Amino acid sequence: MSHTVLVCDDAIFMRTMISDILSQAGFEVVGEAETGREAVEKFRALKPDLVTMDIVMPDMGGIEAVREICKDHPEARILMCSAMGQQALVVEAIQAGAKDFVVKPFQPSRVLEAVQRVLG
Amino acid sequence: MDLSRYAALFLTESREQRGACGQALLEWERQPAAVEPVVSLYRAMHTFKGMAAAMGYSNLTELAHRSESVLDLLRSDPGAGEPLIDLFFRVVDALEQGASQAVEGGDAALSFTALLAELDEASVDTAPTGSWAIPAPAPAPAIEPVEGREVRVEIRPDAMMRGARALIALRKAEGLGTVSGVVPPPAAFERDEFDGKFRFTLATRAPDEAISEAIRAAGDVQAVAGSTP
Repeated sequence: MSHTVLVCDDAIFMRTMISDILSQAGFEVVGEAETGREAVEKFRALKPDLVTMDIVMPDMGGIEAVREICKDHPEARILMCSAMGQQALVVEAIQAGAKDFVVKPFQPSRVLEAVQRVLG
Repeated sequence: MDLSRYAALFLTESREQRGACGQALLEWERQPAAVEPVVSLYRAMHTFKGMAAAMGYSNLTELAHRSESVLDLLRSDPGAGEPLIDLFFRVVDALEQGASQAVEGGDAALSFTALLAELDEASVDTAPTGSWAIPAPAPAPAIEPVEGREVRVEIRPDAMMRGARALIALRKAEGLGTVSGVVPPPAAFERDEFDGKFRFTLATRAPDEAISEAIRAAGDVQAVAGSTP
């Protein structure tokens, strides 16, 4: 059975790109979220094997969403999707419970390596 | 990756971000001291930057990135940015036109020299206010190990965000035992000058091979060395 993924990003462009990369590698994208709040709600409803999480999102940011998810599910496997120059935020996300990160612009091979590490 | 199939999506989303920017700018004009319009503009600029970078449009990415940096500085004092509202209107127009041109013929011919110079000047005039980061929780008090071994780790020099990677490696070590005496302290990891080399004391019964394997699973680890107690 393929791993299930929840893709969280406020831009449909990035969600589509990440979903394409993961679907082509055999993952099943079971949900998408445009805000941190939606990410938390969909995580609770879908219990995906993996979450990809943007950092800057409206309503609730990605780091706060990680904190919220990990409060009840510290085992959640969350991969942060960061832009260059956001190291302080990535560090904060890892402290909040994120398991790994990839840096935009995405190279499919780097995304899949990170996903494999997270799913380890 | 064939990026041409994302071009239409890039244009649609760019227009959406252009709308969000325009709305935020109008709101900023109405309420120059309000922080929310600056935050909305920052987010839209950030989203555009991510998309432009993904499409490989380096000139558009640079313009969005420099705008985002100035907006970051303005968050704690939006009123100070009032004279810059007109500049941001022009930046947003330039990004929108540039997005269409880039999709048609690539981004290499685009030049934003004048706007970049104005943004540079603006960032010099604007007092730094720190980052968007929520303050990190205070670190837990260090527990003195009864017996530990020193572990030295080196993150690959070409790795992205070596500090964040080092923190993941440290987390992996914590999975094996008690970590203490981290040098440099983890707070230094997020600084740009962190060179990816760090050491710590690990109190564990795990054999050297298991320690090395666990830490290497963090990814981008060049070397792990240790001394047995």
